[in-house]
Amino acid sequence: MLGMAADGLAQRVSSGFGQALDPLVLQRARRRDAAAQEAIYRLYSRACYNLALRILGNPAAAEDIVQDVFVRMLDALPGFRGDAPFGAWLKRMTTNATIDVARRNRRLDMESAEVHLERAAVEQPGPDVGVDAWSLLMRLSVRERAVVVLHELEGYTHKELASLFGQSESYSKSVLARALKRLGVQDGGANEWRGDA
Amino acid sequence: MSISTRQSAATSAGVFFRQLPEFDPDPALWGRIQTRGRRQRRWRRIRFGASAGALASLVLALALVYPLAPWQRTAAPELAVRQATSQQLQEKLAAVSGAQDDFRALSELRLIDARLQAAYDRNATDDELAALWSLRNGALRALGADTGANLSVTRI
Repeated sequence: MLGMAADGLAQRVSSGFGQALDPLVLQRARRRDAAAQEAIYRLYSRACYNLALRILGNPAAAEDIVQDVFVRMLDALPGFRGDAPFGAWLKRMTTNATIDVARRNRRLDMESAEVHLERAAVEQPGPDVGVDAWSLLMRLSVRERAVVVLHELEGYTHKELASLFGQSESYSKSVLARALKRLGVQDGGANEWRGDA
Repeated sequence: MSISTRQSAATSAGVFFRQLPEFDPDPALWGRIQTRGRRQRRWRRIRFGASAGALASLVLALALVYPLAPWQRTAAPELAVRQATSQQLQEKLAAVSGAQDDFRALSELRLIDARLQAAYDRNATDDELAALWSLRNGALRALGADTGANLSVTRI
């Protein structure tokens, strides 16, 4: 079952993709050095796993994502030019893989924002006092979790989300506002508290 | 779930998301990733080998079916026929007495041979070579006519 890590608060707040990768480790990993590849896995696998888990809500599916992403990443590593930080590159891969899985499972059907929000208002109640954060997050739909997690935790902008979901920016803003309301969370705090952008 | 913190209404985003737990993936996952990566690389090598083999077979088959390039398929047989005709004419002329004494015809023939040699040296096209071989055959026939030899050539 899921084992909660015993890291401190700051570490927990950080998604982990912001951790710096030693250039020497990267260089060795590009030459297919197994120890260096494992070092990269140790550094980022948790961030990768938690991002997928928070959106998909399923440990087995999240592990599949980690597996897919790392196999693909190790394959593509010799061609990594280093234009963006390594963690950002890996985060993008993880996000895309997660959204693809959600879409394949038809859990992210891209109906109009209006239809979605109308249905959500009828189907799901507001935040319950006395329910923990994880349970509340899991009460959201996969689409809402994706928007909340990517915007609030991973620093995606609405423009990026719009591109990711193939929808307008106002769509992602609507979904986010609604989801935060249902979580009982005040909007606008994403950037002021986030450990890594 | 080992979260003990409870959510209260209207908390800030910071408070809420700090309460989210982080989990570790299965410790055996790295081993599975390595195994899958190795399997994929092996499969890719097999596929590459198979593709390369198939491509080589295709190229070989094409080379057997179409031994010459399109421009060569039209020009080369013509060239070969004219070369063979020339050889047959020359062999027949060699057997005819008096042919070697026709200096005018022989000098024309040598001139054509020199042009042919130059054409081969500068990698002239098959069309140009065929035209020169045709010219040479004409000279040989004229030489044969002068000496009264029967220079009919069998075409294959």
